[in-house]
Amino acid sequence: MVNAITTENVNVFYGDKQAINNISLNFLKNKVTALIGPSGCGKSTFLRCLNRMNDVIEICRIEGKISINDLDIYNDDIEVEQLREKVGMVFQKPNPFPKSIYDNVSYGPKIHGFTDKKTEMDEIVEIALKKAGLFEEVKDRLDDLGTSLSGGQQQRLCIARAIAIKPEVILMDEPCSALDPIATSIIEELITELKESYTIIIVTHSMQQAARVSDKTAFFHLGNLIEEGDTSKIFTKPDNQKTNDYITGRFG
Amino acid sequence: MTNLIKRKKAERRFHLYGIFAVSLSLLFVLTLIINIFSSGVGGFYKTSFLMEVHFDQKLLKLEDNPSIEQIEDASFRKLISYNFKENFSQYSKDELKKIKKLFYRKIDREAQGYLLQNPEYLNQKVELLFTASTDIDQIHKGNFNRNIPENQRAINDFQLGIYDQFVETEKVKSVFNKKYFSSGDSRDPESAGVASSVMGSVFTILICFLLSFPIAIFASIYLEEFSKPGKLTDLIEININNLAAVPSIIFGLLGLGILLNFFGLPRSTSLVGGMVLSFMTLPTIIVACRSSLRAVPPSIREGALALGATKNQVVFHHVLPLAMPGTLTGTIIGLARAVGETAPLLMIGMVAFIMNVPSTPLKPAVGMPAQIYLWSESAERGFIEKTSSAIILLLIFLIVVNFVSVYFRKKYEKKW
Amino acid sequence: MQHTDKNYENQINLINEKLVKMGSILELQFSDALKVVATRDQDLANKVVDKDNLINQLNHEISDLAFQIIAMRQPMADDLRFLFCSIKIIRDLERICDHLTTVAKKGYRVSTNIPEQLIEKLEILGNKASVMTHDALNCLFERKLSQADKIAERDDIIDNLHGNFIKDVLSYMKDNDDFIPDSLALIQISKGIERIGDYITNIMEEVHFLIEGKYNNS
Repeated sequence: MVNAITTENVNVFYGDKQAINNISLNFLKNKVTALIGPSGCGKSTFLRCLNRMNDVIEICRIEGKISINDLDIYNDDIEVEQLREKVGMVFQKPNPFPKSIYDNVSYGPKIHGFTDKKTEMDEIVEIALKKAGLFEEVKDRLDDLGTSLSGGQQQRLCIARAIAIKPEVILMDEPCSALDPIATSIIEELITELKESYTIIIVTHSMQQAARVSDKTAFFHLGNLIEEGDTSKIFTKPDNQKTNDYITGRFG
Repeated sequence: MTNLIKRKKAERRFHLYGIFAVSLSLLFVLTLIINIFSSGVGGFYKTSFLMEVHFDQKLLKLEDNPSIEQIEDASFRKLISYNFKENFSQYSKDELKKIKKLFYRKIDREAQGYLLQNPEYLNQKVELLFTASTDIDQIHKGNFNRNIPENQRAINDFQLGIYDQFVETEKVKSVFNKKYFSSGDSRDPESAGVASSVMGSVFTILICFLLSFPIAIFASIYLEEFSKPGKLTDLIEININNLAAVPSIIFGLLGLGILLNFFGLPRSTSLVGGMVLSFMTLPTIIVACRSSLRAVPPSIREGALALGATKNQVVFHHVLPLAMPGTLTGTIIGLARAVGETAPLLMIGMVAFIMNVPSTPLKPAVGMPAQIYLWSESAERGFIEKTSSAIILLLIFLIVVNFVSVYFRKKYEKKW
Repeated sequence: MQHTDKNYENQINLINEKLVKMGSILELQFSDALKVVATRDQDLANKVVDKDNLINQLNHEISDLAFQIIAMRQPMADDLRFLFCSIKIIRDLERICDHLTTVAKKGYRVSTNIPEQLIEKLEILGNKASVMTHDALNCLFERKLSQADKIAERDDIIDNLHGNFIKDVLSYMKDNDDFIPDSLALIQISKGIERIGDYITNIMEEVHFLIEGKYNNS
């Protein structure tokens, strides 16, 4: 059981307001970890620290150590673009680029200089789309606009786009909250397949989703990590009363 | 229920107000267009007389099979005089003079032009069209009432009689005025053309676009994507927004003071005109570009960043193309304003009498609005019509600029 | 802390109330059944038999309600454990009541010329089981495992008492031929009470799971 990402004493501040209080949480390789908690508890903020997306927010300040393969990702030597090649992200609302499906998937490999041969790029795109379970549906219309797909297909396109650059970790910020139940279950099934090759960290509002999809679950509340452990334990007999109360719908 | 009826009635009233307002404005536009067209469309035609000309080699002092240069050097005055005598042999010398006045005073040049184009006319007798004088031109087009007393007219009764003869013998033709489009300004209404002002406007707008468009885009990108919020950025923003409201003549002063006096750039040229107009157009494009950049949803930026794109790549690969439709709209507005601007161009001297069509932006030029103004000031009646024709051309020019920008906007909009 | 959804909170509370009601009826049945054994009161025996319907009805009600909640509410953690255990416990409670009914039915038919010591021994056995039941129900309703060990001990005691009682009845039977029908009844009553002890042990296992989230595998 190897850790893909380790975090130690992470504190996050927005100006004077503290959003994350001293959280140390590790993420196992090739497992799905779910982050749950009520609105505003800091789970999305924490997730965005892992690929330094919080860098774009001026007033956001991060303390503590976040390491991937024993390298502190906030180290001055690390180029954030390289980090994001290793740690991909899928967002709540599907956000494919207004370009063709092919260009969407090939954008990442193109800017990271994977290849300039068209045949090799075609292969990369095909493999990524296959892994995202989208290839069969779009193979005849790769030149169509990415935005012309349905919601669930768009989200799978975003997943294909993320895995085309061969990351090690995929971060998902409530990936199904904008999708209907069938599209949701397709994505959940996909997550279960993807964990063979990637480490997945998913923020979700739905406890049922966390229960269905994840191996480990961490419960956040008001910027604190209350409890984390095996998903089956968290949902049948959590150690912390607050966790129990949140899960059973006694607050939140 | 009565409340609902009242509301519906109010809505219907509002709807009718709207239709009324739109119809009224359409009516005004239609009136304007019809007015301009009816007074200007004549300017695209010129009255010409058919006259037989004998291209006597000896009178022209030309050898057999003369070269182009030799024809260009020859004087055709004597030829024209001779031909007049031949065609109107029954009239006295005085009367001949008056008949000559019915024609454009430079028909010797027209004859030269014919021979240059058709050297085989040499020693031939050919019936050709020659431009009528501006006074006859206006009478023929009906712009001038010939029924007023003789001493209030430029054309006397005798001349009118000759003209009527020509009409009867079908020697009066209304031809398309190609010269209008190929020549520059002139003292004579017959040979005055819009070419110099069209080229002047084209060069000016081109320079204006080439300067303001890229600068505005880069400035907007800097302000929206890269600058840190702070006093300096606020200052820049306020200044840009205020610039958009500055009276255009101030930009002319700026051009005069800095471009002409300090940098010593050539006066009255499209280059300087374009530069001055670009100062003016910059704020408009910047404001449009910035709000378009802001309108690009952050989800696109995040998506690109999360893939490991650098800030520049995010802006130039994703944000800017999506902001193009809005930016182009602003550009259309800015350029349309610039096409019609005259005051700043006056300050830098683009209001002269330009006879030669400028071939580069570094040659003296005049803009179409200034040309229209100059012509409208002229005493000659022939220029009234030419003014209206020029206005029509200006409007067409504007529409073309519009269509080009809309085409590009549609091209980018499709991708959204 | 209460569930945010008031209806859900009410549903869970309703099951609890019914469970408490079932428990109190059971305890009454127990004391009545033992009284029948002591007094041979036929009317009381009939009362015990009739009351069994109430238990059955409560069993069905709780079962239906629990099923609805599981279908509609996706219960988790402590709610889930409560429902899961309740469903199993009501079955055991219903079985206990069946045995009590048998005790009552057999009890009033036992003839009055049975030696008092035998009846007394039966009474002791019955009381031990009754106290055990009471303590177990307390553990369930208070969600506390404080008495758990004692209850486990008592089951062993009851088993022993039952074993000894059987021996006593059999030896009395040897010497008294016409005692056979009565002795059969007495053995059945003792057996019933001993079985009740086993059911209580089952219930305690479920209570352990309810509170600790796992079974006691000692």
